[in-house]
Amino acid sequence: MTRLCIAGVGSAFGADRIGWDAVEAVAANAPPFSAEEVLLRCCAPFELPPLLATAEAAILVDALVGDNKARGWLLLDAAALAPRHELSSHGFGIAQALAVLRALGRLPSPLLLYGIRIDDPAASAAPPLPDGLIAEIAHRAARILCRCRQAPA
Amino acid sequence: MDEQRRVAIRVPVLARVEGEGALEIDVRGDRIEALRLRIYEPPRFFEKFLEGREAHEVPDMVARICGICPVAYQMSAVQALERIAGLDPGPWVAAMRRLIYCGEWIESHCLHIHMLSAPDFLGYPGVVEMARDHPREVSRGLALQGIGNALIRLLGARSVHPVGVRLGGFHHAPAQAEVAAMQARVEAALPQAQALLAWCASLPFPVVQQRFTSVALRAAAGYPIDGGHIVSDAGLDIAADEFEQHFAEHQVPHSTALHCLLHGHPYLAGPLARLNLNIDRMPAVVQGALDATGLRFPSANPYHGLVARAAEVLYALHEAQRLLRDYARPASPYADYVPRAGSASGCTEAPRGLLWHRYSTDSDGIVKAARIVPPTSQNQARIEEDLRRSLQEYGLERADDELRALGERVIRNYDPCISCATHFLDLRVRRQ
Repeated sequence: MTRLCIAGVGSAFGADRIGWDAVEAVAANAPPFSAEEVLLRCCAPFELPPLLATAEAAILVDALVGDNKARGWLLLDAAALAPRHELSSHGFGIAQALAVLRALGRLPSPLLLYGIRIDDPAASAAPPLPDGLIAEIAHRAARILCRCRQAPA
Repeated sequence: MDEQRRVAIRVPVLARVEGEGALEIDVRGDRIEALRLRIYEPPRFFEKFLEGREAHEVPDMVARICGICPVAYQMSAVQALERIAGLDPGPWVAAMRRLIYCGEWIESHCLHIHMLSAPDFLGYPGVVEMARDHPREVSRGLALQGIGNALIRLLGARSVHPVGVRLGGFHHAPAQAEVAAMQARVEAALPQAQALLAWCASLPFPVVQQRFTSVALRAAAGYPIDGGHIVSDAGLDIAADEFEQHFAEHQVPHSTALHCLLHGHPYLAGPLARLNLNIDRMPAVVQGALDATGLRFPSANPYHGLVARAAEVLYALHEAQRLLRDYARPASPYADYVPRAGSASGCTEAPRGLLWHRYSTDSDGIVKAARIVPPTSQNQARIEEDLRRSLQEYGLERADDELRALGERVIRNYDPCISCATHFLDLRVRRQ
């Protein structure tokens, strides 16, 4: 069982890879996490169920098409995502993945989703990561780990 | 039935699909006037993109064709390009290629069985509802899928669009400790895979018998994954280089994907075809597990493809265990590739069936021509044939919803790449 999974969700293509960029930046720039405790992954939505089924807590990072110009990203409670929303062009998105885990009673907790705003989902390359995002994810991860360590086994 | 009854079933968007497609059926009286599995996704032109690129770029480029079976694309490509160069990367590379391929079979098959297909047979609208009533089975499926992903990551660095494959071998050889940990994980999962096979065989499949031609690879020894002759149960036995003499792709107006026919006729590629043609090549442990199900292969029931997938999951785990057990870290994980002018084909067994590639390169290793025939293209005509027969036998007088549900189930059963699907939504029925 992994304490915390930090997963960039998307694909290798264009703006869709911004979640992967974020997790790679966390791996490269954030204070190193113990590999025993933290799993860093770039994945597609259909990989989430097996990945998150073995995690106590999770932070997901994905592209978000929408207007959030103030900060460049949005922090959501991923567990509250409604499964009816198609978040993936392949039809199996984060919400569907989490719905499976919810039905199994295996949703990580907490389960946070950083949605990084992208203006053009069809762009051929991902935009730069918003300032402060990597530090924010690292800080949030450290707090979650601290809480996990204190929780009774 | 009223001879004038006309029904037009339109599924304009096959939702939750790997790609974009639709199903259209026109019924008049007691016969199907037209049936079209429409694939309207814009062409992706990968073959053209490859032209002018250096051969060493090809493995990373073709991995982008599919998120679920990228390894298959890489393996067929490196096989063809290395044949042009006269390069034999040796037994270690061959073993590791088989290992990463086992990972892909496991993850792809488990995804299809649990997320897409099994709910059809148990009467659930999807995996979420099935998971509530069958948590143990779905959890088991997730765990097995996770092992498949981990096997791909072991050699490919990541499980979607892996980047560890190169001409001549791999960029990186895993450490012995990583391999030992993976081996323990695989070994622990073997009983789970055995249980998966028994569970899949127990699903209430429709009793269907259809005549179709199975086409798959057959190797000199072992169950076919990464090489062999292309054979059929109608007597075909050819080398990969002879593919174009027997198989022809053609365009149909309703699809941007080509239809591939064998001597002008539809055929089946994929797990059921593989098992039908290679049941004798399964190791005793898998044959024993299959015997215990009471099902017999070769099978003419297309729905037994689900059982074939489960049998291949069990096989792939055993094969992975063997390959991991024999692992020794090499001095170099690749052999040097020296470009050469020429043309050659490569053919391997993607999770969904035969994946044939052909490349021509110049003396600098620049790709001059590329041709890729994926399994979905090969199965499209067979899917339409199955749809016609199944709907006709089911009874066209049935309600539109029933016809639609059967049509969707038939399509999903083939696990076409356009149908990494759980449901086809937004059915529209027009009656005249």
